[in-house]
Amino acid sequence: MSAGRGIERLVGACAAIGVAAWLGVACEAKTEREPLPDWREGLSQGDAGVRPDAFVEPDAAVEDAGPQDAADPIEGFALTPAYGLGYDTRLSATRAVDGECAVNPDGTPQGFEEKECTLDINELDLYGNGLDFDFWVPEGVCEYVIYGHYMYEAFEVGVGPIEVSWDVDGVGNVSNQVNAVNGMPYCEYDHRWRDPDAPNCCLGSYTATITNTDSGQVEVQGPLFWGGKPAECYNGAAFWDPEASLSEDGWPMNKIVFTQELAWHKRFHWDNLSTDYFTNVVLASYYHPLDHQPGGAPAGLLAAWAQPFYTFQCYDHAEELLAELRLVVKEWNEEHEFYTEDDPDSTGIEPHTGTPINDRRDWADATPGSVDFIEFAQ
Amino acid sequence: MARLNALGLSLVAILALACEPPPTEELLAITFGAGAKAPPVELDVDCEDGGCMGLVELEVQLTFETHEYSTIEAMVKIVQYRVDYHVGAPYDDLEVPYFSGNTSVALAIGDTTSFNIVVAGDTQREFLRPRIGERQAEGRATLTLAGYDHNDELVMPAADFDIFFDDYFSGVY
Repeated sequence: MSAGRGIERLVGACAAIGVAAWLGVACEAKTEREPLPDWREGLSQGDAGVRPDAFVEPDAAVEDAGPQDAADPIEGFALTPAYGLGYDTRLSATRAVDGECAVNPDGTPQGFEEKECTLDINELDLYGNGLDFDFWVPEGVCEYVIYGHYMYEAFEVGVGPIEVSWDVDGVGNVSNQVNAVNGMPYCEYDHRWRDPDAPNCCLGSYTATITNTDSGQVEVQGPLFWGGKPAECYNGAAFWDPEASLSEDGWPMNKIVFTQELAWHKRFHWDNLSTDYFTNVVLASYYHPLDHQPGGAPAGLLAAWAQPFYTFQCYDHAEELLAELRLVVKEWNEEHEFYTEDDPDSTGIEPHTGTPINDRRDWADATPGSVDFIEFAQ
Repeated sequence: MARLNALGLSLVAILALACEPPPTEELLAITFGAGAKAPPVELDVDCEDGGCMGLVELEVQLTFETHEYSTIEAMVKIVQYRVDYHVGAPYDDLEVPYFSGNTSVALAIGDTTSFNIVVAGDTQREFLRPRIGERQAEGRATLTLAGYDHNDELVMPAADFDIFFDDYFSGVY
């Protein structure tokens, strides 16, 4: 074969490949897409807790997806249990008759919908693994989403007295003290008087009058501020949130998400409490009013800045509320009670250890009644 | 003349092909976080003395790199994942059951997103406990994500990370 003939054949082959390739490109059409691999075997024994329908091919087109919009498991503005945890949780409307923790607002203030929901979790799962759940925002409803988390007053916050006075003689002996101890202004809400590690929760200002009984000189100082920082007197999920943003004065700030009516999803996660706390109160907001009479709630949740719910809201551009979900986290003392949905606060003694069935305190036993604050017993 | 036409057509075809973006999967890069959920992942194979308090979680960062011929509408949607384990010597003949799960991540071209996934569970623990016991083993794991791009093409990017198998003790309880 001559060199010229070889080049001819090469050109011909290129042409054939080129045409085929060109046709291939030009004729490319939407065909059935290749199915996802079947990885269900990895869910053996269900220990992964992974949602089986995760392996159903999603039917939504990718082009229509929002920032986090894939295989929505539930319709509407919704909260759902997190899957893949390795243990069971439930999340549904608090009133069974309301069904799922989901509402379907129509995008107008007149179409506002709300629901109170409860997340159920066994006490060691919460204490040892933390808290997880999913939040879903449907397409075409919310211009903004605002969410904030549960928090409570751990140390009582209050306004201190406005007058402080005492007498002192020439050698420093103090007497006739009013709102003062050892010649120092005293406020019952400045808990450092009882424990140096406690916060100062005393608000307001005062005037101090100090009289020298030897010279008769009267010194008036003020107004002076008690200096309390209320944010240091609070705790809860809003503070334990690994994504918490604190204001200059230490308060957790609600998050504002500009969703622009796109679908949106977020997995919320709080770390295990076992590293820092003895109880589940930091994340478990549930209480029964009968356990907290006469106020009907723990003192820490009746306080001025307390937030008894994890709250998820949908807004339009003008901050008109379109939908709201309020979540309560309920921890259960016994698995049997959890699965039969009977008594979350069951009591008794474990047969082997002789320790209480209620291993991690919740509001019912941490601060029964409605007067006491939990303080260091968290 | 026919040869010239064929040559011209071929060049057009080759040029057309040259202007195509690479497959989406080639533009997807998986890296891992640098924080508390960064590799190496520690899988406690025996939970009796604690150590299994936390989830075996991993922070994944997925980047959809740009390409000069890519359309700005390019997106991917990841819906499930799989983790395969490769235990180091002397346990390198073990075939640890893989772990799989679902996730929900949509990503536009040019963006990077982070998400946490659980990468092991009781099946892996129960398999390894009688084989490793209280001894330590190092290994590698392969994370494979699966989803579709904007053309409904299946994408399965993958990356390896380090994993330690041990009987960890939790002193915090």
